[in-house]
Amino acid sequence: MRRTAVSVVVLALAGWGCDSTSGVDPMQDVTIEFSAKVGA
Amino acid sequence: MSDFRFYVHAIALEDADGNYVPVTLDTNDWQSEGTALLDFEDGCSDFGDPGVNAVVRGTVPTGEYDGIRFEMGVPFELNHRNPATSPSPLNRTAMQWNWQGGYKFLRIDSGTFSMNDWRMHLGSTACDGDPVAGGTTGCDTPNRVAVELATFDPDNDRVAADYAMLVGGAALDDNQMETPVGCMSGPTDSDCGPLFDNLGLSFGGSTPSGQRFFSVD
Repeated sequence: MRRTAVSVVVLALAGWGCDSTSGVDPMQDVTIEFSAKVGA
Repeated sequence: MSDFRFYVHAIALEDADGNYVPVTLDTNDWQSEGTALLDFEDGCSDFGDPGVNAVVRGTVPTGEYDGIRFEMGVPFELNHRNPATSPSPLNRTAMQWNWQGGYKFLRIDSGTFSMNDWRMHLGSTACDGDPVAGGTTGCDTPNRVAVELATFDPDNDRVAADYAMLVGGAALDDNQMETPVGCMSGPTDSDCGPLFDNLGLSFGGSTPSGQRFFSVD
């Protein structure tokens, strides 16, 4: 019973540590530039 | 050319899977409530102001994008409010027809503003309700211009608004009698026909061939 409990704890920690998106900003700034051409 | 301004809203970028992702616009002097004003006049006419703006700023989910779509104009839900209490840039009196009558989605004036100068002012027409008393619930000809540019890299490209493409095929030296010089979006002003077609808008029941005013630069 004790061995099973330890395994569960280790798996939970491993799952938490493998979050590959940790630290990545889900949003990014974007600037859309326009121009006006006035020559007919 | 003394004026060249237009509003845009409903901006979305196309991701790698072909899905359009809405851009959440920042709030500043040039954009609020999802609507932005692009302003290329620098105050040389009585109706302008010194400030200019050529960019729209916002946020999108992190990713790669290679296309854009948007509408030129002001959303209906913002178009008939009291401009005196609207935030910038929806408080520009030169970009309004009249109180609660709606905005000029596009304003292009050639030369100084006089009856002899050609100009193009685009906005919704045939709206119900009383512009002064309010109560507008719809417009038969909303005249918002839908734009979709399939190849657009926001990091390297610009969206060009091209006056020559707007007036292509229009007889600028001629004017329908008893109508303003140029086009004020009047549904019976035939001078608007070629301009509307170049914007991808129907005029007098016509079937437009697609907008040519905007392109990737």
